[in-house]
Amino acid sequence: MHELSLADEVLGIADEAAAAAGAWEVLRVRVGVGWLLQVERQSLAFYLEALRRDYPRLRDTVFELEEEAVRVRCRACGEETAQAGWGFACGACGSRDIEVVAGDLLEVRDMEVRTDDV
Amino acid sequence: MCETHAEQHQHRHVEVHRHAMEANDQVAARLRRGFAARGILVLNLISAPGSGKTALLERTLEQLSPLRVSVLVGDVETERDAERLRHCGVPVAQIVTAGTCHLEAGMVESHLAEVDQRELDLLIVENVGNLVCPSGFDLGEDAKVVLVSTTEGEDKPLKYPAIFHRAELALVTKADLAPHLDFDREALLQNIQAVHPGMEVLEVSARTGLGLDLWLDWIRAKVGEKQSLHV
Ligand SMILES: Nc1nc2c(ncn2[C@@H]2O[C@H](COP(=O)(O)OP(=O)(O)OP(=O)(O)O)[C@@H](O)[C@H]2O)c(=O)[nH]1
Ligand SMILES: [Mg+2]
Ligand SMILES: [Zn+2]
Repeated sequence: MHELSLADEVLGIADEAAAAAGAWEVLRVRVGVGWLLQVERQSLAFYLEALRRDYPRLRDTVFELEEEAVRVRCRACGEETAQAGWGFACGACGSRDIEVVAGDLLEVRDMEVRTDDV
Repeated sequence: MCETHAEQHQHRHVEVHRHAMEANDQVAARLRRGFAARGILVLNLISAPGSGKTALLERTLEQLSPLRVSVLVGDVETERDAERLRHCGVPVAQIVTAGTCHLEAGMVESHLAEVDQRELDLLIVENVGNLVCPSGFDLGEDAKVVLVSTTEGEDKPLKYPAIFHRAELALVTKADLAPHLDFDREALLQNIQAVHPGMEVLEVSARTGLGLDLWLDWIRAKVGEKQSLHV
């Protein structure tokens, strides 16, 4: 399933960002899971756990998987509204001419790391 | 934390804001620019295993002439689909993903050399049979086309909404079988519209040829649109 390749990408990004920050240990990573992706959060957590032994900096990291709701911007009225289910439409004027602006990504948002520098 | 070294151990907050598909999306953007520069229309065909992607192409590729067409076909194993399609007289490259359940932009890019892009109007990508994983991987295509067969049940769009949301066209395949099944056509069409209001839907049969002219017209119109942008 694609949760496996997604977990691998998340770990790679977190490790790269930690290295760039001069960190030797990552304590916590916040990951935004877009609702539109239909990612099984349990399955993603399972693969993060399984694959992280390849990354020494991530051995004890807590991954916080936060669901991100879908938001759309309306091309008719310009409003940005949250969506509760499929069949997206503007929450303000009802137009179907919309663009998804949030909830379609799996994003490594930010993290807490431990560094040596003073 | 150990006391003596406490002053050396700094906790830091790091903003990252990078997303898991970014590597794929970068390659896809590069592919899309290349296709645009050459005026090539690219379609990404996605369905559950066995919904009839290859059968549909077998029936329609020849009729697209004089358009110059190539096909990239993804499968987890074997060259069987490519061999079936080579009988249609168009260049076909098989991408064997060796376990991966979807095509990625990098796989398309590395097989493009097998396709002569200078002599091309249309590139059709038959994705790996899978309704979930391929939907999130941009291949630089102009449109995704989702296929759902009459044998699969009316609730497919509700169970796999992401692909129905992202695809531009839905093909209801194996229409010839509908009379033999408890197939609720209205429910399927309603479910498609519930997920993707206004979605274009065509009903086709690779067996009897029903609806294939509309599918060919849809492709030709798309190729025309793309070429009008490419002056
Ligand atoms: N009756 C009928 N059978 C069809 C039709 N289209 C495809 N089939 C049959 O459905 C089976 C699967 O068709 P394929 O074209 O191989 O399906 P596919 O989507 O390419 O399958 P994968 O590449 O394995 O995902 C074959 O046995 C086809 O003969 C159709 O329009 N009518
Ligand atoms: Mg096939
Ligand atoms: Zn609006």
